[in-house]
Amino acid sequence: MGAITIDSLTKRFDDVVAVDDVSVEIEDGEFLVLVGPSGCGKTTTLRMVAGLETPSEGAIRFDGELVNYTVPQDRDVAMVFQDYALYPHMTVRGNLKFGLEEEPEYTDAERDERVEEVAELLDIGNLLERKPGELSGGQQQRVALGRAIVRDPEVFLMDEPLSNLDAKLRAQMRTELQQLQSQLDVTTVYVTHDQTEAMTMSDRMVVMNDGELQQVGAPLELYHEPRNRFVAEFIGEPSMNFIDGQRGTDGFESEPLDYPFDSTVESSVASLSDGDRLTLGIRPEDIELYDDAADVTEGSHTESMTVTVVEPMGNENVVHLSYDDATARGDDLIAISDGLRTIETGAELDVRIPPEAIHLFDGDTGNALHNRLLETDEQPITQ
Amino acid sequence: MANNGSNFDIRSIVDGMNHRRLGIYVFVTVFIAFFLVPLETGIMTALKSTEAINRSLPFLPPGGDGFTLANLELALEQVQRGVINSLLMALPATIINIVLASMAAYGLTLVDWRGQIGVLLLFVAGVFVPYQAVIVPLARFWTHIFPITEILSPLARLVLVEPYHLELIPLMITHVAYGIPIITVLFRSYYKSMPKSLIEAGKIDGKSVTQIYRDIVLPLSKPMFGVVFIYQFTQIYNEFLFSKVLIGSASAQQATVTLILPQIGASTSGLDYGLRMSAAFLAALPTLVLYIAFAEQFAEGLKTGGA
Repeated sequence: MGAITIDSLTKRFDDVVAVDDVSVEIEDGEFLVLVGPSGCGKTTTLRMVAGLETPSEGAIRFDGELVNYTVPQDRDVAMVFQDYALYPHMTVRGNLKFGLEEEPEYTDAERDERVEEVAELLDIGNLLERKPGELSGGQQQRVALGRAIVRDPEVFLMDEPLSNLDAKLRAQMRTELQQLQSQLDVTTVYVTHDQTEAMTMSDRMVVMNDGELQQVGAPLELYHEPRNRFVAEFIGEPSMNFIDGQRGTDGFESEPLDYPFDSTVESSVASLSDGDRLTLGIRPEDIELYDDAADVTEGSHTESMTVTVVEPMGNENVVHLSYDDATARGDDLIAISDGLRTIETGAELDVRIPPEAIHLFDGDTGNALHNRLLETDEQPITQ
Repeated sequence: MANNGSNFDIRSIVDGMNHRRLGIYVFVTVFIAFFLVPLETGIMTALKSTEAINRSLPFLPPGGDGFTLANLELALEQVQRGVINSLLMALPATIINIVLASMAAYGLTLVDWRGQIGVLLLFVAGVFVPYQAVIVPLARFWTHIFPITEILSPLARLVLVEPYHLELIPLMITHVAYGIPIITVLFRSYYKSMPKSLIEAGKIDGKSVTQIYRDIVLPLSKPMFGVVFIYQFTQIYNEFLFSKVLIGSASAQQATVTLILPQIGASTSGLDYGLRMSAAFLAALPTLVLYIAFAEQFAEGLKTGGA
């Protein structure tokens, strides 16, 4: 019932291309998250699905039916806005009922009943007679959600609904939203700039940048098999480390680091010739830190580095590392170590970059040439 | 800093009183007096007998037997008719004017359609058409081309409607038409600052353009209505030129207060200042009452970035 097809969607505002040739299939009941930095076109895409903007090119289909020029009220969608957009002059009850008034299949008593029911579901039953101005941010958020749910639409559209909440409440609402969505089983398109939200909530996520679609897939797929450097950098916190260099005779060469390839890596970069620009990527949690070079058991791939900053997070430490010879400074590396391990600022560590965990990107286009190997490689990663 | 508790510390005041500060106090006092003396003089003159006016300084209060309320009573008698006519004309004109202007501003600001900038420019141009430029065509229009008073004359048979009331209608419509551009522009700037997501939420909730106006925009424009109501009512109530052109004589039954006022207290033997001042204050009373009644909304409207 709520399947959406977005086909070569483009939106231009005068000279600015906000959304550039985006195509996504959204299944019925799916929780799809559009994620990207601000100005990447994710909100514009959502607004086109809502019918608040008209596409310049391309098509939006709901269950196969073209809706490009259908007005929002005929699309059977509900939207949660970033600023909640609660009507300040109406009570919570009025806000919830407002949209319901246009649904002809309800009698007035049924509408009241439905409002009560949704208010109970969201635990705002005791706030019904208050005005939005008298509610806390979290309560307003619930009312905004309630206003979307009450109409029982085919599609929920959410535009950064949690961005105005404090961190703790946000994490709580994240879980609640997920539960609610699976309970109601309504197709949901959710826009956020927060990759954590995208990773934790989505069935599939769409990464966008500069109006262009970068990659679509399950969260773990995007995490482990990013299609390009942008996705690799955007997904994951702290971000993946990148070292810019070039293809050398027996591997990767850069000023701070020479990194010989093993056979699996070699095969994926075989088409490159010496001197082609390359970027090596490694996730912070994959970097191995040794106090003593003697502990390193497997192969080489080890460099001596100095700890510049340690950020203790409790369960883990985020360790900032720089190369010994400060003159030849490349990018710093960021690594994650166990929270119980004591690492002092200024300490010298032997840092191993395991070859099975590295990603390689084309230095010019940023496209992924090689992604890390996974133990679970037998099955493709899906959810 | 008081030395011992309750003692009023004069020394700190004297110490703080340097030349600069003294200068500021003197400056402020002079200006307050400069602005308030005319008003005070007016009130005093209104309460003095003619003899007292001639003998005492204008701004001094009336002494003992110089005090009289006769001026006010006489002025009320003469000005009453004009005030009622003006209210009959200005209240509906203001209300129709601001409701229409608010609708126009909504259509020009919060609804998207092709060519709205062109229409908006027409409204803006309307703000700059001078009154003097239109008085001749206006008078001809209402008498020869569209004699609305004659067309509506059957209405005069209704209860409470006198034939001369109908004579106020051309003036009323003229004021509505003339007021719409500026009020539209004011409403537009208010609507532009309104969060767009409220309108969009309405759209998604399945509301039509009209319903969004009635259920969302109109209730949220209340503070702005307060502001423009006061502004526009004052404009229309105090306007003279259109009244002069469309009604003409102060002796006409439908004469507005601005036509009657210049006649009061004028005679061959000179001006009766006391009577004149009393009439002026009585004539100003409705606008004053309005300011007090709407003061709260007025302040809120200004605060929320309207006018």
